[in-house]
Amino acid sequence: MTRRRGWVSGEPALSVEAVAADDRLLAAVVAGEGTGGDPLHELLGSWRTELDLFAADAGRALGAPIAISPRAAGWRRRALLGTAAVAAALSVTTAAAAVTGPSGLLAPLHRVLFGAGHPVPSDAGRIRQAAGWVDAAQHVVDHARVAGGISPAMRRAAAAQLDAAAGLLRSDASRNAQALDLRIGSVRRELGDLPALPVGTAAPTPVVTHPTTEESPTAPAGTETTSPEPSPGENSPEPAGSAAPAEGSDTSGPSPSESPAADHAQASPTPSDGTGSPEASSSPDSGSGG
Amino acid sequence: MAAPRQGITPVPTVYPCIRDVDGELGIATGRCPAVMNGDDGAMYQVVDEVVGQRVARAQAGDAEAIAALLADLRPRVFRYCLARVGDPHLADDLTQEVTMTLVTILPRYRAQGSSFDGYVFGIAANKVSEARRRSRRRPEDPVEILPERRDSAAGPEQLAVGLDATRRMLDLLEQLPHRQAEVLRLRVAAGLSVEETAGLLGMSPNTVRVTAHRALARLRQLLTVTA
Repeated sequence: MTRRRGWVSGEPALSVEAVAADDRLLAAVVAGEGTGGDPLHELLGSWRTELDLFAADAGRALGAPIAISPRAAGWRRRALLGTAAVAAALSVTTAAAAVTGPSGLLAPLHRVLFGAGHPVPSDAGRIRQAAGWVDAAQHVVDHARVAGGISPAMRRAAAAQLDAAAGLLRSDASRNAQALDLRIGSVRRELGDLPALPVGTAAPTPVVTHPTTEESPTAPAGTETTSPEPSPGENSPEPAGSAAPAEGSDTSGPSPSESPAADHAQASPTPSDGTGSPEASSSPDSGSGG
Repeated sequence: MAAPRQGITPVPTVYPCIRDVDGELGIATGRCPAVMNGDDGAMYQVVDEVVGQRVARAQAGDAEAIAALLADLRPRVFRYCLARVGDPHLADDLTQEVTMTLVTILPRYRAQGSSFDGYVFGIAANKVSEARRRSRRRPEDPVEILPERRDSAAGPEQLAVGLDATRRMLDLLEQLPHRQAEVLRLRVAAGLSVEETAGLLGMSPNTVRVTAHRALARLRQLLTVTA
């Protein structure tokens, strides 16, 4: 078949058939097909099998729970419960302060939380704020569903958040407010359907968020929302070929013109410095140690 | 669009799916080539539809897509790292580093002529190199100080025996030119296709095939000598 001399002096002649046969051999190794008595195929097959076995082991280790001593477990449980209790108390108090308003029973707290001269929010702002409360309550409900139940304190906290949202919408007859009102009812039903966890049970701690008036990730349709996109400078796509490493950093992963192994002088123009930071480009990046 | 680089003309079209392209042009083989020749002689970027969509969803913050992406990549990255370093624990750490780096920079990833897999294994190669440089700068004797970790079912002896072929291949690959060894690691350990390997190493697919052929020929010689 076609044969030609290698262009590098001393290279053996190439046979297209032999190249194709070796290509098939590698494919067979990856596919785990039989060796056919070839010792090289056998060695490569064993190599790949070992790698597979250890990869499977590493995968199991990744999914395995971390063994925690009883002492550490007790400490963690107490910390978890404490965090949950503090979060619940903060949530209930904040919600109550929001409901009672600047002239209510919790006026001082309201002033601390929302500012002394807190202006009456606009309709859109009020809906965003209410949507934030509903989202927070929904978050609690979702976590509780995963945990298989909800503690009384968390139930009260979520209910207070829903009350706060409903209070904000009380005088609003807009379509958005009505839609949000329906959602409040839905979350309230979900909350009511959750089974109660016995007091002291270490359920996963939901993060009881304090919604701001500025943004709500899931505001009802028609309401103004702030974009979750990062600042344009941070994530703006870079033109191809801009993958050159930043000075003093190891950002240059092997672009197609580079070898992935930066420690090989022949194939890799990557910087010798091992430190680096992730770079926004399609050139693979070693990052800065994760 | 990608700028000209390494003889690759600007990518005029992004094919949506390699499986459709494969039979149509009869050039691309394997799972997800990075670039390929088109009918008009130009090079085209080829994007695996499934991987592309998954990456896009992961970039948008879809937790399910991120998990699927990592579940697919992690074992392959681990295999590659293990093939490079020969130590399962170090390979595990490196895989974790690659995963963390990937998750960190994923939102800023832009496909530019190289497949996503190639991009990931580029990160992995750099992590391995960094680890080697670190170990050269700060030689350390590893000690077990963190018992809060899943103990491997295999003991040290079993591990040593179990890595017999891996250690042997490490020794053999050390005797090959770096490019040849890297091609074999990427093809066998990482399971990359010829085209993905080509995209990653900046070679043409045919050069990858020839390099692999030469590597295997050299390995046959070495095996004969040792036998």
